[in-house]
Amino acid sequence: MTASGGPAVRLVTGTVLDADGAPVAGASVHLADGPVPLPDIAALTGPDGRFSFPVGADGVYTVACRTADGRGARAAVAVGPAGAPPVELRPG
Amino acid sequence: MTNGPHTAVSNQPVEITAPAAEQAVFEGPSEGAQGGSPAAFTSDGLEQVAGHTRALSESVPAEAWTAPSAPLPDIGEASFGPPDMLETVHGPDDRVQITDTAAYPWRVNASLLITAADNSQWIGTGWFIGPHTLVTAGHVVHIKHSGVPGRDGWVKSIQVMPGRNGTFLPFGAVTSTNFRSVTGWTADGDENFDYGAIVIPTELGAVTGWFGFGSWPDADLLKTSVNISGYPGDQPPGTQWYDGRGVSSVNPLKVFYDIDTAGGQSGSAVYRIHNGGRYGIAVHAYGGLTTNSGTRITKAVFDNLVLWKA
Repeated sequence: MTASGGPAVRLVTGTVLDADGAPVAGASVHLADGPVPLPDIAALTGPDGRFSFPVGADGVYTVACRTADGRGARAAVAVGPAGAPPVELRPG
Repeated sequence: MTNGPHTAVSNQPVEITAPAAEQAVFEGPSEGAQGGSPAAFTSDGLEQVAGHTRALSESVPAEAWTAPSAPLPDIGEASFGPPDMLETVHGPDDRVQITDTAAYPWRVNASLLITAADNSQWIGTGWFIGPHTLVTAGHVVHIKHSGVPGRDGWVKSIQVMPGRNGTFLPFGAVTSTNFRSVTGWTADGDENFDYGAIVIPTELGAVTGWFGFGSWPDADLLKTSVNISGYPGDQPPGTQWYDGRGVSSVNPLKVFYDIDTAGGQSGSAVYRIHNGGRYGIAVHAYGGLTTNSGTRITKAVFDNLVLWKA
């Protein structure tokens, strides 16, 4: 789900975790901002709490999540030619 | 029938062919069989929603305010300069929650739970244009360049929940596996052709009603106020949020506006008030630097929507 029609897809990946480090299922995750226009869609985490978004350009992206009980978290991640480190979101 | 990148495609085994008859430019809305008093709108073309005020920037006299130029997609980063951060909510968040979601026009909008081919799940928004057809973004029904094995292609299913308000589903839910888009999106992944449709196996749209849609000239759009109401993922699950203001700019294939949105609102109607009815003029799909954008309902898009509505 990317605006890019080209092959240079990089992934912003991560996991939503609770205070004990356990994965959170059913959290809504989206890219809140970034260096290029972004599809306005949101992912729902599965039982493993994981998510992934393709992005078409290098730069800094902000990933935001909201759990079903209303807790949220945001994190910035830098995407470069080698990709990006996994993001951990821990809603407070 | 082929129509360049607007060639309609479907995930169904038998391709639907376009009718030979010439189509009208506008298709009308319906308030549906559910009844009730529709929500009011203001004289300047916005929905009349408690707590929503027109953005301050729009109260500045025209001669003292220069509209932002269109971030033309074919010049990419050259339009934006050095990579700045983009926000789909620009400045103060002007969105307000809609709570009477069972009333027209809010019930036309549906919360979408999307299950992709790899069983990953996503949320989006769609809007009825007829008894069994909802319009949405192309990337809602068909995933391109995900970078994840098994995810690309037509999604597996979409659960459609019109007028959803949290856990309250005033019209229930219906699941569809029947989708439409165009080759400009499904083959090329070109955001200028990022639109599609969901065909549901019931006539639920006859109850909720639907929006009209139309193809409008640039000069008309540039003096028009537009409205967006959808299901963003940064708010309590399944709640509907509204914002509206003037069109910022247009190009031949897209419409740009400084209306606050967030992930989950892809596919929402960008609609105007015309002759007392509500008409989609674009399909919301992207957040951008100073404006968000939607796929413009051109004559080619219009023709496909008419085809998919049948």
